[in-house]
Amino acid sequence: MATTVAERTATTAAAPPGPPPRRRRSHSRAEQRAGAAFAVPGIVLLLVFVIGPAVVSLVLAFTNARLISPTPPEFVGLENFQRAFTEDATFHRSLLNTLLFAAVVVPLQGGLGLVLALLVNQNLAGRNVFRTIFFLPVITSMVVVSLLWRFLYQEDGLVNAALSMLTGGAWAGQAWLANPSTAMGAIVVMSVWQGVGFHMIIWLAGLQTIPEEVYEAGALDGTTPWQRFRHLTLPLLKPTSVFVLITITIAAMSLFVQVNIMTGGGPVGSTSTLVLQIVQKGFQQQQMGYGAALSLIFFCIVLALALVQRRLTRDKD
Amino acid sequence: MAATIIKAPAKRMWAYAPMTVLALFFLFPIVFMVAASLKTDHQIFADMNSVKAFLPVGELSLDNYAAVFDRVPFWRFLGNTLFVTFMVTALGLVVNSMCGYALARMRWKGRGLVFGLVIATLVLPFDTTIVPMVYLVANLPWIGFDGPTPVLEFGWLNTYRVQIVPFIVNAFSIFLFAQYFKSLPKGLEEAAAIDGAGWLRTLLAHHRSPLQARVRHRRDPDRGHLPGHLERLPVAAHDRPERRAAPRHGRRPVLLLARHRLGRGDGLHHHDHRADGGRLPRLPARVHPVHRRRRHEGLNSPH
Repeated sequence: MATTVAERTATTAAAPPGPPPRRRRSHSRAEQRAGAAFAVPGIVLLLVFVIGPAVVSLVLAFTNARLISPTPPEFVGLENFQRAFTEDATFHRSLLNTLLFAAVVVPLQGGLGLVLALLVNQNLAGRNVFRTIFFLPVITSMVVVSLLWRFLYQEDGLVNAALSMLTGGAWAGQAWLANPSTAMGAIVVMSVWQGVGFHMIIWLAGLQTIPEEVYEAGALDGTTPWQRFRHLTLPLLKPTSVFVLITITIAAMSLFVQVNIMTGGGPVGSTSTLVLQIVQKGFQQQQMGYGAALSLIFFCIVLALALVQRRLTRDKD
Repeated sequence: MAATIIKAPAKRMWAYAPMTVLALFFLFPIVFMVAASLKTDHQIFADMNSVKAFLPVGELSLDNYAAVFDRVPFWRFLGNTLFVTFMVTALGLVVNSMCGYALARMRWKGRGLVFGLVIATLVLPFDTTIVPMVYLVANLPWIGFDGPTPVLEFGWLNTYRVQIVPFIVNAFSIFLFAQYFKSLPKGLEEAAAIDGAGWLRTLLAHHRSPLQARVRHRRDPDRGHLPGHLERLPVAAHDRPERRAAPRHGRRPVLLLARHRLGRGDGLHHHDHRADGGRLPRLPARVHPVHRRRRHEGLNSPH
């Protein structure tokens, strides 16, 4: 069919300008070549800059490679992993901090994001203004936000001034980031403040796929708003919630920028995280092999968490 | 019924209360930043304990902004940022869309394997590859120029290319492009092929506008009617799955919608940029006659 049309076109159109019609569907070898040619730039870049480094990371993890070293790297077996799990107290602290951060931030940010989405999904005048305000921190660079909040958290900063005002002067004030027991909490608040707007948008997109008719049917059955939320909205948001959960978890496990700028992992390791350790060991201390081993551990944890969440949130039927 | 109407305004007011409190929470650091940017350090700390911290009051000046240009080579920084961003975006668009198109639409050996690799790298956090990445880019070759003679150099550190080349390819972007191209009807490309467009021209046409492309290729005054399966093409464009989502505002009058959409010079894609673009009901095939007429008047005539 295609061939006859093309031939007819070629004869009737009497030498049309431009290239002659090609019959590429019937030429699968041409398609083979074109397909490979189209994909090659992407494949090469992917191999060199993503998959290659990942494989190198896997190999380096079992060596004592250093960034600048006169001696070539040697294979050391599981020594790096042994060091990480049995000797490196900073790594233990970082692992614990990272898991703790994720455990707090995932429900907090996911939940607050849903609350914000429900609020701005109402049919109210000015809801776009509120959507913009809640989204504003997301489009602000994390570096800028971190510097700003570091200033707010100072002993004579705005957070203490506000608390003192609210409590009528009873609040004495403290340097939030210099106190090991409050530093992580301060970073949690600031991280949620910065990131929750993004997940509000994701939840909002999920909410808007739910047809109005579902709620009308629910209202006809005499349900309360809470029942409609619990038994209609939540189940219908399931696909969205999987996405939100997994993206927040991965982002929370990769906590780095805020810590690097606001505390540098201190005080006394109370805000050190896995990625911060990877960067410090791999670059600042130039222990590439050990840094790579930490990267591998980090990857396994993230992958395991993602798989567990996927399994837990999978549809039962 | 009357009760709900009376209750409504009060209920509305209550809906604003939590939103306003939250808005203050999200705004206060940003408002503070803006206000403080106009003040001296002394003024900032003097205002800290009152609501003046958020207001542009006291000793105000644009000195802080002027200092930005004095203390750091600001224009150079801005130029670097724009250059790197532009290059990564432009090259990424070319490379990722070509790869996505090849994965979605063309049959070639190893396609399944490559698609698997792309999916696998989606779960790979960037942080796990940074250590060997530095090791790698420190040793990569590059053809540099020593005057007019090309020389082979090693090491990419402290160059523009090290900030651009590794970030061109993006597995997520390839994946999204592949999903998009898969959602387009194959008939459109067959039409393009019959009209003599090669693979590259077809892909470029997709980038301009999936529908316009086909229409442009078919603008041939000598040809008169096209075979039936080509006539149906623009309707087939509505079979894209993202348009299939249930309409939220109830079903719109389909014929009216068809006139509205097809009567525009920029084709169906006008609606893609609207906030509710994805939710419009798709055109069922039965609007065919109306649509055929409108297409000739609308899409092919200049507006």
